[in-house]
Amino acid sequence: MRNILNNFGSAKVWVPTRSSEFATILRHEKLVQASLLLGFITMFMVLGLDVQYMLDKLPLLVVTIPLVLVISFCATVLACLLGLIAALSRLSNSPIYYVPAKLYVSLFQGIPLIVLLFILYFGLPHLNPVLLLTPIQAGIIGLALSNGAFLTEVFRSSVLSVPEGQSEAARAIGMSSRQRMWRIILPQAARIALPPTANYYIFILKDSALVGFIGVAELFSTAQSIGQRDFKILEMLLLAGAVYWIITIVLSSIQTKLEQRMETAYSRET
Amino acid sequence: MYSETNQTMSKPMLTIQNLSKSYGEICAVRDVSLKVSKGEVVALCGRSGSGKSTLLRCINYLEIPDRGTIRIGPVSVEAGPMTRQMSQEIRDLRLHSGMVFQAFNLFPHRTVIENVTEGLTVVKDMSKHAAKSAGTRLLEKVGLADKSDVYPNRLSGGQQQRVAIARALAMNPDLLLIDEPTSALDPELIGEVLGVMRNLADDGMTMVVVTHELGFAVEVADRLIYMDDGIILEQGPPDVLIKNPETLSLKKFLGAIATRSQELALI
Repeated sequence: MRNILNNFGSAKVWVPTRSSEFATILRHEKLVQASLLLGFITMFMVLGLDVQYMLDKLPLLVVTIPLVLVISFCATVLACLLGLIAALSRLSNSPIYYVPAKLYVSLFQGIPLIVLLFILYFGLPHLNPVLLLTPIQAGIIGLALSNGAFLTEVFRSSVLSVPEGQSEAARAIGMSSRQRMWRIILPQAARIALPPTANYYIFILKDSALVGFIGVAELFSTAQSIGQRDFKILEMLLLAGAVYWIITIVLSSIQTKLEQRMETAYSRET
Repeated sequence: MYSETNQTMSKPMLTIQNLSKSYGEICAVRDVSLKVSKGEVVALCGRSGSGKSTLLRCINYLEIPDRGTIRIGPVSVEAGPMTRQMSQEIRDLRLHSGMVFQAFNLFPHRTVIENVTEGLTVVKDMSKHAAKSAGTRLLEKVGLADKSDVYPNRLSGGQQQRVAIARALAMNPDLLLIDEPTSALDPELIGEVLGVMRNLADDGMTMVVVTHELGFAVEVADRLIYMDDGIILEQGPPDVLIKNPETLSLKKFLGAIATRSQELALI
């Protein structure tokens, strides 16, 4: 049984790496990025896109970046919290804990984010006006609920991938199950979970474009409304895509640095 | 006062009564009973799958036995359904025994000294300062005081195993359970670990050691136990047992080990 769990655990670990593979390519091929960018600009000009107009409107999109970062950061923190609670509950032996956690994961992995956002923002106030959220609140909660369900699986498999011997050694010196979990297992699981969790921040950042549909003036919806007003829809959409791309590049390079620091953490002498 | 100490000397430190453990259809340990007196060093040997490691791991309930009673010092636990009281008894049992693993199982996110003091500060609620000085003394004992603030992955296997021994000793156990301490080590590192164990034996530590190092058993152990198919087939003073094995099974086992060491000697 332990074996099955372990295999299951390790199989699950790589699930979120699809973007880390993408990130690796980005990381190691700065040259490719530069030539791609040049290629795009050339293509824009060939297609007859108004590059000057795009450059003029760029600042209007750049000012929305802090909002995008804050929304996705708050959502990530909340999602991590939900994921941690649900992961620990799923690992519990008691059905009182693991049944609700399993239900949470299955439900929020199953509902499309856009549906969830509409339920939170447009639906809930029908139940009770007290539940009226601001668009940003609803956006953060929706992003957190949905990604928390996926992070639950990341955290659970990280905990399961800490070698059994660690828990045995902790048991042998008389630690209680709570002490084992918080002092021995979780610190090691956190190290395993960090790279995929950092990836989820990038996922959440990109998903935050959906928050525009419930009325948050974030990057994507700003780009769209400017484009529609000026009849330059393609220009503004491409510009929005480019800005998201650049944010992602910056974030994944930060992520690489973070991972490198974590890798050297145990090996430092004194 | 004197007679009282004398009495505790003769009283067994570890008593195993009718212990059985099976994994599904496979019976790993069959109705084993064993007494180990205070200060005695017992070496457990046998083929892989003979139940020796399972027996050792049952002693501090890392494996939960199906039947039987285990008593270490004042604590006695009888196999049965896992209740709250039972798990408290098991923790008590573990506090009276230390365990050293084949794969060391040091905590990689803690420095050497933190590995040794973890149990003292967390389980025994000792102050950080007191735990540190106790830990440093133990590291001196295993010859690693200079590695105090290093992380385990900077150490050789032999050094890691010595830290693991210090970690087990920190809890001041009545009994040390040691599971194939040198099996994961490079040949040139085996000596330092056996040396530490020899010193412990000289200090009067009660130990049960699963080992293939028969030379160590002859030199240090008071008793050698040979297990086969989940039962204790033969036991006695190591040199006697190795010279005059009674059963065919032990003869074959000793033969296989002798052939292996001859091959090694030829190389």
